[in-house]
Amino acid sequence: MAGNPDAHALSSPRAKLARNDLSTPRRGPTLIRIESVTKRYADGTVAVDDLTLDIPDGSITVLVGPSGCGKTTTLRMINRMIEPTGGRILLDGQDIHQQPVNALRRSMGYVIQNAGLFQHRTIVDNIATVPRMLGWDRGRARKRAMELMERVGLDAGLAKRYPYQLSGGQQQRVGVARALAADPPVLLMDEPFSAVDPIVRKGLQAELLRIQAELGKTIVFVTHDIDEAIKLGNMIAVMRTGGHLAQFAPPDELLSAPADAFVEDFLGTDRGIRRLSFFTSAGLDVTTEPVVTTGADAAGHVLPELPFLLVTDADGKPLGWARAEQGEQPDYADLLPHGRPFVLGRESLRDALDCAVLSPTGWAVAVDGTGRVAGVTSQETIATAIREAHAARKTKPAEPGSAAADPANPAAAEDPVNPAEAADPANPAAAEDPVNPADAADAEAPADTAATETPADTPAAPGPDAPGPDTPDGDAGHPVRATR
Amino acid sequence: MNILHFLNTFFSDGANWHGQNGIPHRLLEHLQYSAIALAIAAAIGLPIGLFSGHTGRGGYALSAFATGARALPSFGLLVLMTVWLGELGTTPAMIPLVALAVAPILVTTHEAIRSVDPAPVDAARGMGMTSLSVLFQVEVPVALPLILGGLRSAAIQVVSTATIAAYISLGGFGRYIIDGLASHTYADVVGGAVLVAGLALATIGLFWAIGRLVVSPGVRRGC
Repeated sequence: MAGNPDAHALSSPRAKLARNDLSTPRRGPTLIRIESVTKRYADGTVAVDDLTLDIPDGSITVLVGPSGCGKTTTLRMINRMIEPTGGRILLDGQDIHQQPVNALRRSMGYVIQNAGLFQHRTIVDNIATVPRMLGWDRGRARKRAMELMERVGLDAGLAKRYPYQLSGGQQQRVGVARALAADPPVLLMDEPFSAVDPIVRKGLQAELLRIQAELGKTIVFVTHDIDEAIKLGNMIAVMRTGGHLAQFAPPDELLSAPADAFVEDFLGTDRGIRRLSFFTSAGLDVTTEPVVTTGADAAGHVLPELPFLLVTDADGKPLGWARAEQGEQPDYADLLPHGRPFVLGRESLRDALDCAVLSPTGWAVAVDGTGRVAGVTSQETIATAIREAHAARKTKPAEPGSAAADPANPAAAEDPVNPAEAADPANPAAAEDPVNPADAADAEAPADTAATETPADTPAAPGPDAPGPDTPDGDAGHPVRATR
Repeated sequence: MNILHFLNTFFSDGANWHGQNGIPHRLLEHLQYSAIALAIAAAIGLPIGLFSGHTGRGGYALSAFATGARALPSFGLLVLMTVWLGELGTTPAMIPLVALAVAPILVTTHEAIRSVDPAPVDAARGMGMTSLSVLFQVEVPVALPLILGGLRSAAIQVVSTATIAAYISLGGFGRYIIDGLASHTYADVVGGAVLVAGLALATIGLFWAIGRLVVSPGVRRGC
């Protein structure tokens, strides 16, 4: 997929910057390559130990781990805020150590915790900082800043305000806009959302995914929050104390095959359930048989295993469940709530299962993109789909025509110190796989974040369905299971 | 004989309003001494304070120097300099005034820069600002209220202490006090003291106005 090895010489980050176009889908050598990098401080502390990592282009790579694992140090070595004591970091194939430090930094967006806004400058001037440094005139820089405010979801009326007049979440949006202002190909984000409350954080995460879907930057994102990592990352590098890489894998693989006990412990409980977020509900069996329009004749609609009918309005939108016996008309005036439906094909099997668990009838309601009922499905059907999805992943060939694909599969888990081979074939696949979180699971994230995810975890985890997805798990024989 | 009577006597005396010994002329002299002393002190104190604050170096040396400078008796230094240098115009008077003013400027500037929130500084460096840009575009604008505070207290001390210039035959409001004491014209002493106090208050007002003018509303936070 890499194509022309000569091309990258022309497309240095500065050149990209100068062009200033918003659509720069990159193909070519990996933009950022970390090679055997070590950071040892004068007192002998080793923050990062012989780390090798290929950051895939145009996607979000999350560095995650407990405090002191060297994730922030690693990030700060990429823009030379910290100089490594060993190894090297390549940007577009060139050692960043050979490049003028300030030009290098201007070619990368930088977002930090608490945003770090300049309190003496207005919001618009904060965002215009880097373009101004690059020599843009004030008018052009401000115009660009106004565009970015819109892009990150800030009201234009805030432009003339000062940072102290904004909420924490708004300030963080400004921080992201400021980092994007000169359209750098690379974005470095150091725990950008850790200082805001959980609701605002969800909004910011959804916003980042939306922006990323539009811009396709190469993002390196540091967090200590594994849920954030799984939600945002196309690839996740789990680091452990002492600056070692424990595992480098897509979130789906991380959840299904943690490399060792440390990674599994760090992932926390119910990873089986969480992994379902990466299984699409497209192809899930739904039936329209027990679905009736309100007031209609229900004869022949009642399924033997479901003493309920889903009642819709004339437009096909769900109204609720009606108790129904074979051969009797249901009471259309006395409906049970249908709960939250899931969008068939767009939401994951986790959403479908959640809807089924929360449903008063145990059956989930599937709707299409316009909210019309597409059918209903039982927990058993969803469980079958989960088993099939697991089986498909186990047997699915890595990627057609990719001879180097083998190490990307189970072997990757056993070879965490050398992610380079594993990562390369996996990345293009990750970007194009329709079941990939970036495309499938996250696309709808802005719509349903706060409302739906909070209740989902509580009833689902202890419920009788929880062991379900684990049992047929293809990785049943994996060593990590023994360490529980 | 009360203070109001002295004041009335002093300020209603027409001779005190024009000529070599008139209030306007003495005011100009006083302002001139104060401004020059403050300018020299700022020229010494600001760059050193900005540099040490920005780099984080020399904090201990600075506080040791400041403690020493505060202990210096201005009047003693004035006499010493006059004996040592002779009556060379305003120079013997400037040295104690500058010595007095440097310490608050230097120490406050250093502390002001040190106390700037590290997050925006980190962000500025990370987005590729040069070290000088970080100092003047990020640190100084935010530290400005404190830096102005240091300049203001230095200015007030200089304005008050500039009276001693009269002791070595220079002008300024000190003239009224020294001469009044020598000739037992207490109305002049009180009048001169009130003028000095008034000028000190005016200095505070001036710095408040400068603050309104140069400090960003984002840093003032609406106050």
